[in-house]
Amino acid sequence: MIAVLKRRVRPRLAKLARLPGGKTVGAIQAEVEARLEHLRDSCFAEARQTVARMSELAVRLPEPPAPDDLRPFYILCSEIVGLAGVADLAHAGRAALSFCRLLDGWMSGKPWRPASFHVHLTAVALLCRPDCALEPSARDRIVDGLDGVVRHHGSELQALRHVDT
Amino acid sequence: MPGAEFKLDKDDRINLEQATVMLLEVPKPGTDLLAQVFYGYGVRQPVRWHEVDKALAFAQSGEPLDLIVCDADVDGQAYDFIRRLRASDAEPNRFCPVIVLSGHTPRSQVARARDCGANFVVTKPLSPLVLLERIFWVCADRRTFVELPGYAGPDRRFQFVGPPRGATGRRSGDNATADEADGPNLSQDEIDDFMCSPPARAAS
Repeated sequence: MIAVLKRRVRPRLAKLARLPGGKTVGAIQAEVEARLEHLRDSCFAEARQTVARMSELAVRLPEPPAPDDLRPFYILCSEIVGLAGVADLAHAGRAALSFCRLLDGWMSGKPWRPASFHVHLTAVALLCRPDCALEPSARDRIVDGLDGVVRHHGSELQALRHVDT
Repeated sequence: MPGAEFKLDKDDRINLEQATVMLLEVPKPGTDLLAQVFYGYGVRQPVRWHEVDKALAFAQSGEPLDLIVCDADVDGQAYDFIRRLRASDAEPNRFCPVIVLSGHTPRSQVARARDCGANFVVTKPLSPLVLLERIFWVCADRRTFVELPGYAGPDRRFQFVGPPRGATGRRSGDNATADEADGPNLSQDEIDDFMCSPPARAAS
């Protein structure tokens, strides 16, 4: 028999949030948007720097890489995902998310595919370029292609599992 | 889907001026997104940390916190932070609602957040409105805080999802499929469905 302690906890936040005053959701939205607008340029610059850091790390990446070698890329990609919404880099964010999925798979022991790594890195870098003149539809196709690479890796693993069994 | 059931109206009102909110975030000079979002919500002075140990020491120092928002990538130990906080004797902060922000959210990652005691997971890129909705959810969250060997945090049994991983189950309808380690990214609605049932409307 496992002893389970249960406590009824009512967050103080619930009481505070109902105090008179405060703001409406509409007012909050307007203020947050204005504040984030001020950060747009710095977020874009930070995303660019993050891509540059990934490119530097990629030059020194051992072949094949160990999970710990890939972890910094995962963290940096995740940063780009976080910055993308504010920095007007939606496609770069989606590409970075696709990259996260691949990196997570490799760190969990999936077979390493350098070409998939490099195509993701190149795509993220391209989509973060300030002079990237691609139309949104072309950007969509790039991201769809990256998603296809991730799906291919998934089905490749399924096939390997099938062979194993 | 819970996300579809609970949406904020523009006229809903919330007062976070007196709330003490701790942000545990990845340091990025000049891009304090999370802090700016909370200033916009009306929080006077969010407490900000970039290191898990310092954040934990602050949480244990005695100042009551009303909400903790934690970036999953912070210091590489965000989940460890939540687990240590929940297991500590720092009252009342060990009961404090914790929202995790994560970019990559496969089911395994969301399960990890849930199993270390997080209340909610919100996907990045951050939508200030979605995060605000989840703060309303926190205010209305009626789950009990449970403590058992290996887990302390909000009660995870809010819906029947079959037997534990690896178990075959005793009912004919039980489905014992284990979570894929790296399945597709869950949407915000799927995450909500996995973490917690929706509250009744809490907005005034």
